[in-house]
Amino acid sequence: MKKMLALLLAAVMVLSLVACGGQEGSKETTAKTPNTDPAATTVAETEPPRPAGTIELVWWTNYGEKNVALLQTTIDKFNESQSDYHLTIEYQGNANELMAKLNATNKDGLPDLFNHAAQRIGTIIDVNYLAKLQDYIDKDPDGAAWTKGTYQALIDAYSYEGKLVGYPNGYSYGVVYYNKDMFAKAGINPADIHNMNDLYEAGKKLVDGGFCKKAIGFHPSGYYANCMLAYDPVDTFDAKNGMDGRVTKCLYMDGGDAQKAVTAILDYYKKLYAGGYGVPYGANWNSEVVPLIASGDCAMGMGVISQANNLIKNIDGKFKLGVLQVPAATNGTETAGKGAAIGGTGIFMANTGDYWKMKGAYEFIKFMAQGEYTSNFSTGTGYLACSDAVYQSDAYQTYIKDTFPGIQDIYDHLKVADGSAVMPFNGVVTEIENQFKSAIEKIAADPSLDVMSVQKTLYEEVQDAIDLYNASNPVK
Amino acid sequence: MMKPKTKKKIKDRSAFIVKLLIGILFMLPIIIGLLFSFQTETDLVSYPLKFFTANPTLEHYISAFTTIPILHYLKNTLIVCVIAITAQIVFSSLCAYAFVFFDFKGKEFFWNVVLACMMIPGEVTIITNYVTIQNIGLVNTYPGLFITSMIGGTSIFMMRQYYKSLPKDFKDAATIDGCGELGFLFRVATPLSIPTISSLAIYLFVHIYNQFFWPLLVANDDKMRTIQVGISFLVTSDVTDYGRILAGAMVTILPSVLIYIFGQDYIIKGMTSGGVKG
Repeated sequence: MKKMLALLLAAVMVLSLVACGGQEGSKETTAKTPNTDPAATTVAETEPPRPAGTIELVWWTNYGEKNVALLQTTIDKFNESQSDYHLTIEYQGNANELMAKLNATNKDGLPDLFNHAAQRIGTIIDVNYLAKLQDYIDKDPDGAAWTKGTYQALIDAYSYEGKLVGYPNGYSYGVVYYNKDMFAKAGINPADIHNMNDLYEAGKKLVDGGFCKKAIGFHPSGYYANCMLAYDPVDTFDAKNGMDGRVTKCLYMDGGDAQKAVTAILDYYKKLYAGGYGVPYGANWNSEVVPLIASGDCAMGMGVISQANNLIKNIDGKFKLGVLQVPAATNGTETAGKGAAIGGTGIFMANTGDYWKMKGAYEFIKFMAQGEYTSNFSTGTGYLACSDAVYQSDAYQTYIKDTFPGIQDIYDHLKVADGSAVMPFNGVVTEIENQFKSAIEKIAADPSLDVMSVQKTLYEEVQDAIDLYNASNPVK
Repeated sequence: MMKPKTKKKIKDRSAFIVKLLIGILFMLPIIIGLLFSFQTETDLVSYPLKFFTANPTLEHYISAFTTIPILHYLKNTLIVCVIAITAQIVFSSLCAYAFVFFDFKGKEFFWNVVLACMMIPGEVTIITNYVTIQNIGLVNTYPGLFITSMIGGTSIFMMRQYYKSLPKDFKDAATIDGCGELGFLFRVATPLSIPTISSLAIYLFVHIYNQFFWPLLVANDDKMRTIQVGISFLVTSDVTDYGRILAGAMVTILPSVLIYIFGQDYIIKGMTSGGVKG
């Protein structure tokens, strides 16, 4: 009986796979399989006849109500500006849920546009539901003129093999918020904080000097560790962090600069929590860390720039808020901290195979890149301006002047930032962030742990993830 | 020396207090959510947080109702629940009846198939089901939302266990009185299984009502969204309006809580009836 049951279950599994394979060519599933030819263009060589009437476009997003409301203003302006296309934005769960849905959706069910995290572009570069933006720029008589003024760090981050694959619509940035008044009283110059050891010393001085109870609180995420490593700058994976091809090796235990940098990060947390200087790692940013900073009990907070508005609201003018970029892991090289590690969310075109819809999607991205239409998103969310046009807009300048003067320091850095801060570019960035977060949690909870043993576990978990990804996504 | 009556009284009261404390412990997240949903945003971001506020407000409830169409989402959810639950009860009753009262070839084998289905986690089949739903064109439709919930191994199992507990004499008496199989099912077995059916319905309601990922996959359009998906729209990773989220969550859990409160007797009867031999 057991044998029969096993056979039956196997038969059911085979039948269900056959049933789900789709019968028509148009119903090609977009499951995450590598493109057979990554260089293949998704733009049709000849223009098919245009369908009559307004073409409906759909944008799948992971943004919630508040951010969608801000984006809706841009969408409304786009819809009003012409009658060829009409765009609707649809919420599809959080970032992971949206990705799962995209991965499982048939080609003819795909949206025309979708959001994806900037620092995780490596996880979608191989999928066949992505239409690369550069293909459309190359066919555009105006070329890439509309991207002029977009910060180079963003252009670099959204490019693969020198070609733009998507465009930023929310520029997040890993930062350390600090109490400017407290720093001044303690005689600490924030410009002297270049690496994690500097950050530790500053925090120690503040707590030991009785200026505050805790030096720093964290928005718990492994993303910040990748920023620290990028600012060193050090390649933590082979193939130049994935920019020159498929990543096969994690370098966290290579005995060289990458290993030292990872050790420096973990060592920072060990010292911080051994001395009792940190707000417990894992504390909720909004409900626990922010109130501590706002009350002056905690001097600093490591988070992302889009959390600024909430922090400013809570501080309510009690002191001046300063902000500096996440420090480099070590002080190993002269270029430390000269790059601009990116974060946030971008907008991407889906490869629906529908010429006119894809053209419409491209037109919207071009429209959105104009500063006057998107400055409200940056001011409303706290995300950095993605381009000089947005930065220079009246609305954004008013935001800097009236709401957050401290943010000017970040823009001063962005103006001179080079392309040295390269975040890992591969299909397992989510796992890397999760494993880093887990390693920091372990050290923070028990500072007596040996850093090297935690680092070794971190390395093994990340290497396993890379091996698994490569085994299931072979390069063709 | 303490009288036995007094001793029993103390024992009962102590047991009651322990049970009450355990009950409060389990209810605590809901109690905290409820209390916080009436606090102002300023109170909610103050440190340390307080359970009670001097300035209770309904602003979060008003905001939740005006920001998203909660009632429309509830309507969609209820449509899905009613159809899926009705279908499951009908199909599982018929199926379970066959397993208990009929002898047929492969009975044991098919029963094993039902048990095997119960052991496969829903997450394993969800993407396959979604691809199938797309291929048959049911994305963004009510049938797409409820079709995968129309039959389930657990329901068949529960109904079978109940029918097995029915005394054989009932069937014999019904047959002597001229009842056929359908007559016995609808006139005798089904009326007697009302507690089990009610318990099953409540269990299914809570299960289907709380579904999140399936309705998220199948319903792209806001008009087809169920309450669990709709309420998650209030959450944005970087911006968190706790008061409104809590208010939305309180409205969302209300139907489940009411169903449990009014149906608790049936749940207990239903869960225990299968184990009682006639």
